Amino acid sequence: MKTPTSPTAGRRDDDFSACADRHRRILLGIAHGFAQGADRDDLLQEMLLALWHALPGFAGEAALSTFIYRVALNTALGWKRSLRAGTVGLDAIAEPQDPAAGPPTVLALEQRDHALQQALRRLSPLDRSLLLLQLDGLPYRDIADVLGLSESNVGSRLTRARQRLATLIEGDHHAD
Amino acid sequence: MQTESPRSRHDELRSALAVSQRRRRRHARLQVALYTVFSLMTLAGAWVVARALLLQPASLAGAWPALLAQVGGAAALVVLWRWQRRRLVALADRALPVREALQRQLDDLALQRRQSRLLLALAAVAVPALLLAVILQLRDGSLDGAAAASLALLCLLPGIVIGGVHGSRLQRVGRQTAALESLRSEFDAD
Repeated sequence: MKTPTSPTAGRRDDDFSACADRHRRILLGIAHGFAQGADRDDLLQEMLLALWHALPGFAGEAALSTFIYRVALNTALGWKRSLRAGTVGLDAIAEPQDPAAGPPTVLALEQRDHALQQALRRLSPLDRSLLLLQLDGLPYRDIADVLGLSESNVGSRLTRARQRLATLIEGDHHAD
Repeated sequence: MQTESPRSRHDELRSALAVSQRRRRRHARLQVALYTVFSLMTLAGAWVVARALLLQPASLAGAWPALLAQVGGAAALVVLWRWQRRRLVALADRALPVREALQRQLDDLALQRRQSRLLLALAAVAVPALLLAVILQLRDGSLDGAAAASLALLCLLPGIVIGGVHGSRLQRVGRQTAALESLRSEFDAD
């Protein structure tokens, strides 16, 4: 059933749609880093809801992308905690790989991406957040701004997070 | 990654938003209504008991514990109301840096813990006080057996509900605090 909307509500709707479409990649990237399958869709929905509520409060003191990263990460971290302890989330179950998905090079790339995503999800939330932001190409200053850390701290933490990620991927490689 | 069209995702979001906003509004209205009703009931009860004490101090001497429980309850409700408003204001900003947002949530959990402890303390003091008042009034003949039993039940029921709800809330808040503390400790390391 359609309900009549006020001009302000309509404008908010338009602003939100434009913002969500323009920065969709950020939301998808964070959602992908914290969940997969049906959980990822749920998380994405939560992020969009949080963004809808937060957007009217955007006063421009930080870049819009920084604002969206903050909302998305805060939602993802809260969402992760809200999952019941002791239950196995869908994101803990590996997505099956389809061997007939494409030519060998594409398959190899997909497998590498899959291994990277799996390893990322096994890192601590902070390491994962740092690496996701760096993979998105954010400079240290922006990563520091999103997470509330100092720039120098971001550098040293990123080095350690990359080492931990490499160890995990190497371990998986040897296990295979 | 996503196969849905932006249009269908947008429609889906709109309906989720409508449901979420309805739920939030209903929850907020219910909470405000509950606090208001509890506050008014407590204040009205206190006024009735105080008035009776002033008019017939001798026959209603047993009502003193009830009066104290009512006044204590009213004061506690005012505090709870203020804390609830503080929580709503503190949690409204969703775009804080992650570290600050974590601290804000930890503060909120601490406030929730204080709310529950205050309510449990209130129940632990007010219920026995009200029961004592009923017993005293039963002994001096201002209440008959049936009325005393109904009043005792009325005093016990909220105590049981508060004990159950806020006991389990304290456990849940404890678990959430432990999870958040471990995440914050990562931020605080070196």
